[in-house]
Order: sequence, then structure tokens, then C-alpha cells
Amino acid sequence: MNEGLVQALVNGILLGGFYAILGVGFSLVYGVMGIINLAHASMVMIGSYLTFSLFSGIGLDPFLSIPLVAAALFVISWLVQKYLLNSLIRRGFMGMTVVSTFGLNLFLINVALLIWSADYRGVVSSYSGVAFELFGIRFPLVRIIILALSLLLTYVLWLFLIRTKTGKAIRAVSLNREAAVLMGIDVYSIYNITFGIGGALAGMAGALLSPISSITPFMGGPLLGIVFSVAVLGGLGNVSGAVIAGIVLGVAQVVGVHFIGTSWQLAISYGIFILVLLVRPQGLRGVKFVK
Amino acid sequence: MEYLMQGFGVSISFGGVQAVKDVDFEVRDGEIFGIIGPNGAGKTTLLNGISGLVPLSGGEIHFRGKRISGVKKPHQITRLGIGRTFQVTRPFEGLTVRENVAVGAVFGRPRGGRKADVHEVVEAAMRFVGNADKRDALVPDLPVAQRKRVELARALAIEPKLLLLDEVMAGLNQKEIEVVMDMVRRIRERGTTVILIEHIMKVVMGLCDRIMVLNYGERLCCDEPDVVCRNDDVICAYLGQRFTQKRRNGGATSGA
Amino acid sequence: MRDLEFKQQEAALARNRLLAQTRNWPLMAVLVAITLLLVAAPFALGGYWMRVLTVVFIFATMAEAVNIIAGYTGYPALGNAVFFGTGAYVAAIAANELGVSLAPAIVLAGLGCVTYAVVLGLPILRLSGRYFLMATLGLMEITREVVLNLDITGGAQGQIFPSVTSDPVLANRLFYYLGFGLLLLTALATWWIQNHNIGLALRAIKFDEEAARAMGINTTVYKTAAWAVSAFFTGMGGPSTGISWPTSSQQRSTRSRPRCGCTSSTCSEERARCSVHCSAPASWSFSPSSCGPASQSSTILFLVLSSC
Repeated sequence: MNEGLVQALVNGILLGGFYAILGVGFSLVYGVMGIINLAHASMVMIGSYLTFSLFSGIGLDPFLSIPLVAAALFVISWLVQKYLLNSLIRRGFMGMTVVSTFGLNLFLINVALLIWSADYRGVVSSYSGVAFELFGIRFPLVRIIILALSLLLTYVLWLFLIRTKTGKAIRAVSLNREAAVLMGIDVYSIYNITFGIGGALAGMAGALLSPISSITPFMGGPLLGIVFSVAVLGGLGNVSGAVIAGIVLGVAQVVGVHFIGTSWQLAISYGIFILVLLVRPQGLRGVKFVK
Repeated sequence: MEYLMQGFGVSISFGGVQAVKDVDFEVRDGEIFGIIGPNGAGKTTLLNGISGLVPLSGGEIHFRGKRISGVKKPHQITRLGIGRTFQVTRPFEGLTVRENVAVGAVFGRPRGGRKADVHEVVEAAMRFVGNADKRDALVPDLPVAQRKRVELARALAIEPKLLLLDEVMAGLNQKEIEVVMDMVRRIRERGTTVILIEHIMKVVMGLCDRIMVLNYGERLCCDEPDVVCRNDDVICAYLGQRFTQKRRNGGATSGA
Repeated sequence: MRDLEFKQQEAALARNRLLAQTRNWPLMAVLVAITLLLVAAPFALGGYWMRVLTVVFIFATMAEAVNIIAGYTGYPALGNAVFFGTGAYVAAIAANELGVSLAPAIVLAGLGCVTYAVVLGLPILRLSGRYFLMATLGLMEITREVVLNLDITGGAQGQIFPSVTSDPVLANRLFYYLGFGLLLLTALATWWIQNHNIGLALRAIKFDEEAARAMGINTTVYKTAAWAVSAFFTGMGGPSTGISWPTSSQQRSTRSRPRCGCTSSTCSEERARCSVHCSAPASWSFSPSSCGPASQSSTILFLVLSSC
């Protein structure tokens, strides 16, 4: 194996950990409510912009801004679910929720255009160029931090779902909504919280992404392909599956780019997504998240 | 004697579960053929196998001496003249009763049928099941008994040679059951062979010429009704081992 | 004897149908009046409003087309704008490489999209609702990537359709009537589908695909056909706008506003801001990012349609 390929594999794994947290929020929302959140990637974009504003405004480190960004996105998503999506679900327009998120996607893009304009933005911190070298393979510091934080936050989510009362309620709703109602769970407030968490995860992903990607209102488009791929590959609604899927996708994408070329990166992630759909057309009901 | 339909070692499995195991059966032209068995015996699965909605994992099904399993797609099997109803009624919810029946008449009949007589076929089918007065009603507005009739009319509109009825009488009251039983008899009199899945013993015993009993996907026996209900294996499957033992020891005081 | 009775029945049925339609005559009258007004409009309106209406026609066409697959058949093809882009590219490449003129280029665009829909549809239409939705969005992105990376499409620069006429007034009218005609054609096709056995099959598929199969409907053929018809009209919409669509670099500053006149990505920021006000659409350009606005507008229109 040549060195370039090994480097590509390492990059893929470093990227894949991040893909996990990118897809897991989408996956959670789908698993619990059956809502395809087409605005998920745009929420990531908003998260990146908030991180950028905090960085350029008060000089806050992008990784330290994660709690703030996550909280902001949680509130936004919570409101969206409470006042928009729940009213649709209550009236039985389940199919219209996806269209609402399609509209929300456009709305967020245009809000970003108004506030931050169409210019490319970036977050360049003092340590962004630092990298370790081991056996001739480069390990950029920022990417290692991103990987570690991604896995940590995904693990925290998993703990939350397993250990806390709210987490258990979320799992109960996803397994059987009617039975959950009979057990005294307020399904709609669980929906609010779930969508809020989905948004918070998107915000965290956005904050994590900001140091390694240029930020534009249109960055969501390519990300949505990765979100789809991770969610479908890992099984819709499956947290641990999303981590594995993220790493598989990251490696596949980077290796694909290594052989075909950078300009096909997006096509590769969407291609993997469609391939998975086609190879397992029925088998993708999604194992319920957390066994 | 020529059989209308024959199954040779039919097996159907889902993943690791074998729902139907190596079942042989033969249906004579013009008879009412009952399939009974406890819940989960594989009755509906076998019906799905016949209509092509589920692939067989082994064996073959022949219709009029020609193989249909694995070679014909579901819609082609329908057009050969095999109509069916579903256990849980599945009419097209957003279509009116008349449109539901028209779907069968337009697409389900063998090729070469005159396009113009669709109207006639639909009306006849609706009159037969007795819901012609509901023709413009939407299906969700109908009670269960009416929904079952829509399904039956839809299946009749394809002018089937063989009709598969999957628990058409479940959930109906005594009077409605009598009506549907009479309908099934009249369907047979018109020359249509019927395969019937049913739980209500009175119906099965009263209607069927022959009965096949399935248990855990296997064929226990296949014979005339009064022979079947005296079969020890069948009683065992339905009422349990202990009862059979008691019956054997204490003599046949209670029938199934 | 029986035949006679049957014929009488048929006649009665036809009478009823006619009656039902004449009972709706105020609506019919309004529709006819609007149609006549729109036919006459180009002689009263300025270039700006004509171009606005042209875009309206095309978007309405696309919404009608999405309705065939998403509304009747129940397959939510949110990524249907892929055919808008594909159609525009097929027409432009046919014109530039093969020297085909406008009318046959538009038909070619439609047919090209039919082929694309059939090739994509056979695997993709096996997916159920939500997965199909995500897959169509994915296909739109993949197609965009492929177009960006191919030489024949001109990459990010896009394609410029050769000038049809040098007279701006004539060009405006040409594209206006093209768009209007396409909309009428699509509406007519939809009406025909609705009142025909095909519509019955599509609606049956929408409500219960397996039951439809058990009733003798070849669902693969019908739903693929539905998507192909949808693709046909959407694809013809691409080259029929006669308006330049923003290229990727401009889209960011113009916020996806359709423009005309500025025909390549070298446009300066200032020129890019020009709205449909500027020069006549004698020729148009198209780039990979153009599907975005088209998809958004047509989907919103579709929603308006479906909520009626």
C-alpha cells in the first residue's frame, strides 16, 4: 500500500467520525417521528455561521462555542417543531412535514444570505495549521479534535437516550407511539424535545465543521447528501449504526476521491446513498436506535 | 381428473422463518376448497404465494397444468383469472366504490376483453354483492361489512376462474355471514372455483367440498369436511395434546 | 337485445357526463376567458411582464408535471427539477453540437428526459415513498455533479443556446407562446390522464400498490410511464423559458433570480443583478446550479395545486 492511500484512509477515518454526528441528528428525528428533515444540513450551516460570528465578534474559540450554538439551535428547532410541524402532525398531514422542512431549508438559506451575505467565510484559529506526523502520515490537530469531540458528543447522546428519563421516553415513543401515550407520555412534548436535540446536534456539527470548511449559505446542499448516506447506511434511527456508517462513508469518500478526483466527492456520497437504497430496498426500515 | 391448480412441495420463508413447508395441494375445477389452521399456520402466506405477491422458496404452483410460480408476475397471474381478496381489507381508499370495482374490470380481466363492456361488468359485480346503491361512496365512509363487499366485487370484476377468499367473513355478524355464504355458493354455481380461508367452523363445514389443514406451515391433512374434523392430528393442533389423549381414552364424546 | 340495452346505457352515461360538464359552465367560461386574455396579452404587455408570465407558465408546467407523479401516483418526486436542467442541456447541446433548431431541440429535450426517467425510474421507483423522495433529491445532486465534471456540458460555465432571432419583441413573443402552449399541453395531458384508465391505475397505485398489482395492474410500467410523462413536460420546460439562468457564481449574489441577457459566468456583479428587465431572450444560457430555483418554485406551485 502506498503512502498516499494510507494518508487517505487516515483522513477518511478522521472525517468519518465527524460524519457520524452530522447524520445522527437527522437519523434520530426520522427514527422517532418519521420526519425527513430536509433542513438538517441548513441547520448545520446556521451553526457554522453562529460559530463564525462568535469567533469574529468576541473571539470565542470555535470548539468552546459548541454549547452556545447547540443551545441556540435547540431553541430554534424546538420552536419549529412546536409551532409548525406538530400542528401538521396533529391534523394528520404527515406527508406535509417533509415539504415544510423543504420550505424551512429555503428560509434558513435566505436568512443566512440576509445576515451574513453570500461571501465565503471561515474560522481560522491560532492552532489551525498545527499537525503531528507519525510514520510519515499527517494528523492535523484540528481534525483530531473534531473526531474526538464528535465521538464524545455522540456518546453523550447515547447515554442520554439510555440513562435519562426523557431519553427513555424518546425511545418509547419511537418504538410505539400509541403505547407511549397509554403510559402517560406526552408525545408532542417529546417530539419538541427530539427535534430540538436534532437541531442541537446539527448546530454542534456546524460548530465542529467551521474550522475546516468555508462557510456559505449554500454549504447545506453537499452536506445533505452525507446526512442521507449516513442515516440510511446506519439504519434510519440508529445511533451506533450512524457512527459506523459515518466512518465507512468517510473512508469510502476519501478513497474514492483519491482514485477518481476531488470534483466527484459529492457524487460519491450521493452515489453510495442511492446504492444502499437500491441494494436493500425493503430492509431499510431502520433498526430502532439503541438496541 | 384434471386439476385446476396444483402445488408441488410449496415452501415459503421469510429470512429464517419458514412460514410454509413443503406443502402439496390440488384444487379441482368447480369446488370450494377450504384452508384452515391455527393462527400463524401459513394460510395467508400460501395465498400470497399463489397470487405471486410473495416468491416461493421452493416448489412449484401450477394453474391449468401450466407453471405460474416464479414465471408469472402478480398482475399476470391475476389476468390468467385468479382473483383475490385480502384478509385485512385493502380497497383503494381514495376511490369510489365504482372506481374500485372498475380497477378490477379494466386491468384484471384476461387480454382481449372488449373495452366497452367494462361498465356492464362493473355494474354486474356491484349488483352481485349488493352495493350498487353505494357506487359513489368513498371507501373510508363505509362500515366493515361494506368494505368487504367492495373487495369481493373488485375481485369478481376480473371475472376469475379461481377466486381466493381470505377470511371474508371475519368480523361480520351472523346475518351478514349467511348472506356472504350464500354469495360464495352462487359464485361457485357460476363456475368459479373458490379457495377459502376461514376461521369460523360453521362456514368452513357448511361450504367447503374439501378442506386442507395447515399447522406451523405443514399440511396435516386434506380431505372432505367430516373426515377432517375426525382427524386426530387436526384435533391435536386445534385443541392441544391433552385433549386428544383424553378423547382417545374416554371415547369420542365431543366433536371438534 | 342485450346489446341495444347496453348502448342505451352508454348513451345515458354520456349524456350525464355532458350535463355534469355544462353544469360547470361558469367555471368553463372563466377558463376560456382567461385563456383568450393570455393569448392576446403579448400585444398589450411590455417585455418585462411577458417574461415574468413566461416564467410563470414554465413553473406552472413543471408543477403540473410533478403532480402526475407525486399527486396521482403518490411518489413524491421532490427532485423533479433534474429534468428541467437535463432538458435545457439536451436542447442546448443538440443545438450547439448538431445544429438543431429550437423546435426540434425542445422535443429532443423532452425525449431525452423520458429516456433518463425510464433508466432512473426502473430502479428508483422500486423504493417506497420517503426513500424515493430522498433518492430523487440525491439524483438531482448527482446529475449536477456529473454535469459540472463533463466536458460536453461546459462544466460550471454552462451552455449558451444559439440566438433564435435578433428581434427582441419577436423573441419575447416566441418564448411567451412556447411557455403558454406547453402549459396548455401539459394541462390537457393531465386532464386526459385523469379521465382515462391510466389515471385510474395511477390512483390505485397511490392508495395500495400491492393491491393494485393483485388487481392486474402492471405497476412497474404504469409508474415508470407516469414519471416519464412528468419528465417529458418538465424537460421541455427547460429550453422553453428563453431566459438565462444564473450560473453558480452569480447565484450567490442574485439570490436565484432569473435573469436574461447576461450569458456567461464572466458577468460582473453589477450585470448579474439585472433582473428580467434587461435585454431580450434571443438566446439563453443554462448552468448546473439553475435547477435550484426551478425546483423550489415548481415545488411550491405544486403545493398550491395540491392544496386546492
